[in-house]
Amino acid sequence: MFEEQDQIHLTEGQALQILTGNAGDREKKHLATCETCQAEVESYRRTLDHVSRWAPPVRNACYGQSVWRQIAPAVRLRARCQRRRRWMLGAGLAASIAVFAVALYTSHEQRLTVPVSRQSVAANPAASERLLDIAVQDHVRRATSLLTRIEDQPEHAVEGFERDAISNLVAENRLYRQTAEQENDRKTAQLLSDLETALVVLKHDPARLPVSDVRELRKKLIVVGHSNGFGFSNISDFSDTQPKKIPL
Amino acid sequence: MEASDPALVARALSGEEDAFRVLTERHSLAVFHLAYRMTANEQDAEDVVQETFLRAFRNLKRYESRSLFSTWLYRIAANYSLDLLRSRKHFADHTAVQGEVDWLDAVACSGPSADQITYSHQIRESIEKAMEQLSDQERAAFVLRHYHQLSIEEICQTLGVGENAAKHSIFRAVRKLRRILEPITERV
Repeated sequence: MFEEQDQIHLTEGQALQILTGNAGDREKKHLATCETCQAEVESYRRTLDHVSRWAPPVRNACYGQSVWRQIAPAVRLRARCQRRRRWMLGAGLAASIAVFAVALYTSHEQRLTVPVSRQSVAANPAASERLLDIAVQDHVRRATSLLTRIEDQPEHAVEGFERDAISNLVAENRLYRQTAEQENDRKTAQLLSDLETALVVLKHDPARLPVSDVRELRKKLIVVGHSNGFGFSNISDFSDTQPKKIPL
Repeated sequence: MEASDPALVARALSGEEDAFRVLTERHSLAVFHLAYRMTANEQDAEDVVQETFLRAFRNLKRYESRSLFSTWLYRIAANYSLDLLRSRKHFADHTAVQGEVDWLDAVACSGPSADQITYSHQIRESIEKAMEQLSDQERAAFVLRHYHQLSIEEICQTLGVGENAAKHSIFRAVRKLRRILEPITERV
């Protein structure tokens, strides 16, 4: 009976197990006498050796520094936003307390109702959302304008200066998308996600992006931008494609 | 003496920009390697690297030092690579055609040597074509295991799948690769 079992060939899992030296005695014994299974194990060994030779393109020793140079502006901007947000929250809280204290004091002394909003602008989440809206509005306008120009060009020919503009838009887009995701603004996040995909393709290989997709995305930007209150409906309104200072 | 990753993370969290710079410079190359093997496209890999570190910076508070910082970065990079591959399929027709655990150890390898780096262009192409024929999950699981030596548990966390699914993904990947590459490896 044992001899009969020895005649059964190794499964693929067992063959891979042999490679690690973790196979059981029975499998080893079988392998020692079975040429078919020896060939099977050898074939797996060759495959893994072969794919191990797949080396990515070489990068120089300063690669890490170049990556940092590329992301540093975005990191600094985010760090500033985080500090500002903390500061605004703190300032808003302090302002609210101050307003409340004044109101309390006044009502106590003069028994008058003070018509002061206890909500400071800084503490109001709507204020920070508005800041994001303004920044995104500006960004979407520039992206739409760029897509319009590219759409009109044969095979999406991208000029040198446009390449820089696209790179800036990609970096900005990432920030806004991440912020929108963080704020749970799914509609804006989705729009920016679609835009980012198109921008990345445009940046590296414009010819890969079909004209129909550019047109569709541009229309979507206008429609969604309009419904988000970005306040534009005609692409001719925003011819400025140069990056502006972001009001954040 | 170089500061450890957890120490640098703590400093970065306290607002020290330079600490995050060191982390970026230290891990960029490994993340690039992972990203390239996931996307098989140099430019896409560069984008993945940048996005990975931006996401890492944004979510630094969520990093738990019980896992390696590099593993945490791999998780971000692998997930973003998968997102990128999926979104690419929307915009362009990608050329992709669509026992026991011990054997998994065989799938982990050490880095390429100098002679391996100079391996012929044709051979590299053959591997890239073979990798394209793996599903996203098979490819991710195999790359994480074979080239970056992540444990099965780490792969499960990275891909959000169960242990069996991760093991089977690697197993299927190895089986497919062997089938596709067999004519070449036999010749070599």
